[in-house]
Amino acid sequence: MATVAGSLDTLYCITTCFNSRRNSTSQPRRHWDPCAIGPLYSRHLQSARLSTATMLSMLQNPRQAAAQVLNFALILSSAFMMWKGLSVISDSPSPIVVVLSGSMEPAFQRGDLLFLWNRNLLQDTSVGEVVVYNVKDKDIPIVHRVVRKYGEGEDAKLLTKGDNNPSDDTELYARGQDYLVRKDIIGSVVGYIPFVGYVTILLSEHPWLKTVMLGVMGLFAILQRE
Amino acid sequence: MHNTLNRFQSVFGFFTTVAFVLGCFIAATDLYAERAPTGTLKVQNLQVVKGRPHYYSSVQEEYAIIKFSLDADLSQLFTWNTKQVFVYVTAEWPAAKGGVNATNEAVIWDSIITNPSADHLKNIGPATMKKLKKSAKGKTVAPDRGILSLRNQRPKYQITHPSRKIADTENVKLKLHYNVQPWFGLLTWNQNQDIGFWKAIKGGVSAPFSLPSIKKKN
Repeated sequence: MATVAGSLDTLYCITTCFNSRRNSTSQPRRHWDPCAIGPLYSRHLQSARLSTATMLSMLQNPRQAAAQVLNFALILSSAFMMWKGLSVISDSPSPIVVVLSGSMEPAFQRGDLLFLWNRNLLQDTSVGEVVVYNVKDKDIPIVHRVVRKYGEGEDAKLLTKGDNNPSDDTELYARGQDYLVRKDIIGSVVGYIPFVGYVTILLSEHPWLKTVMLGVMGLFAILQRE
Repeated sequence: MHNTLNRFQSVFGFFTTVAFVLGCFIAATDLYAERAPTGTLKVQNLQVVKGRPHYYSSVQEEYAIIKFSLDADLSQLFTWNTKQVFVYVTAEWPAAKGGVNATNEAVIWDSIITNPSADHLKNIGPATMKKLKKSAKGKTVAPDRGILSLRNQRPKYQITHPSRKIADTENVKLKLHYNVQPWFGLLTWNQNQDIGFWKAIKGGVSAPFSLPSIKKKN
């Protein structure tokens, strides 16, 4: 069963990417201007030595501290906005998912990132499409290929199968359910990026990493001097 | 500590940006690779039998076994960004007798054809794997794998209908499809009309046929 993870875990991933990218672009001159390296370096050394002192001084400077907190909130909220924006555009509750298992191998492996699209602009969801669906009363989204379709529109009966599985998904469905319908599907796979999703797999399998990462990010946001 | 981590973060951020942009460039080269696939599908043998969906089921269903032959040239689908091509043959037929729109569609045969760069990921036994790797030694792209020639091929899937009846169905057609799955970028399927450098499949549809009545037990 090629299960996928979505929503919040991916949000963490976006947040980190966004955060790191933001840092790389926000101060380009300091890094690339060779003239500035000498003096800047020594100043940074100094600030590193005095980091505890600066932290204490920040407590005495509430205006700066508030700005840092706001800055951190901005990063988080813009990541959240990006995620929700993508969700609206693609009409899918979880537009980016991470593959957790190997029933679609060799195409999709554990840790790969899939982009979903959930609108039928040109045609119905049809045979051959790779879809992510939720089974009634089960909370694990599954990504498999549609192999049979009977009928048209919303009520069309769909049967799915993993490319790497010997048999179709009838056994994965709910008791008494032989086919999926369109509304069980939360999106068709349109884009693919390898490996990137491993970050979220690590985060969901080792929950303490989340705390550590949020802590480190928070520390950065607070210690950063603009 | 603040400094080192900050630098590491900047380098990592820059790395991800560069890797992503590079990936997008690679994905964009797909659009400039010409695709002009061709295919000929012929029905060889038709049979409808009665059976049960699985061993412990008491339900009787009708299954169509469609043997076919296929000649296809999908070699142009294999480029450096191709991880695998998923080739599949569907049978489609209209819901009502005399209907025009083929609203029932079922895959009867499929195959995963990997590019040599993805051979190691395939789920096959060690001996087959060795053979597969040997078949494309020193190559990372193997267009010759896209040339298919099947004679009197048994279907992988015996198809039925939710009504459990499929015998005597009229106006059934077999159709060839493919799905190119990349190392990075967009998944693409066979399209109905030409788009840029990508042409629609030439041929790839069988002549319409009718399924026979259930084979009587002698």
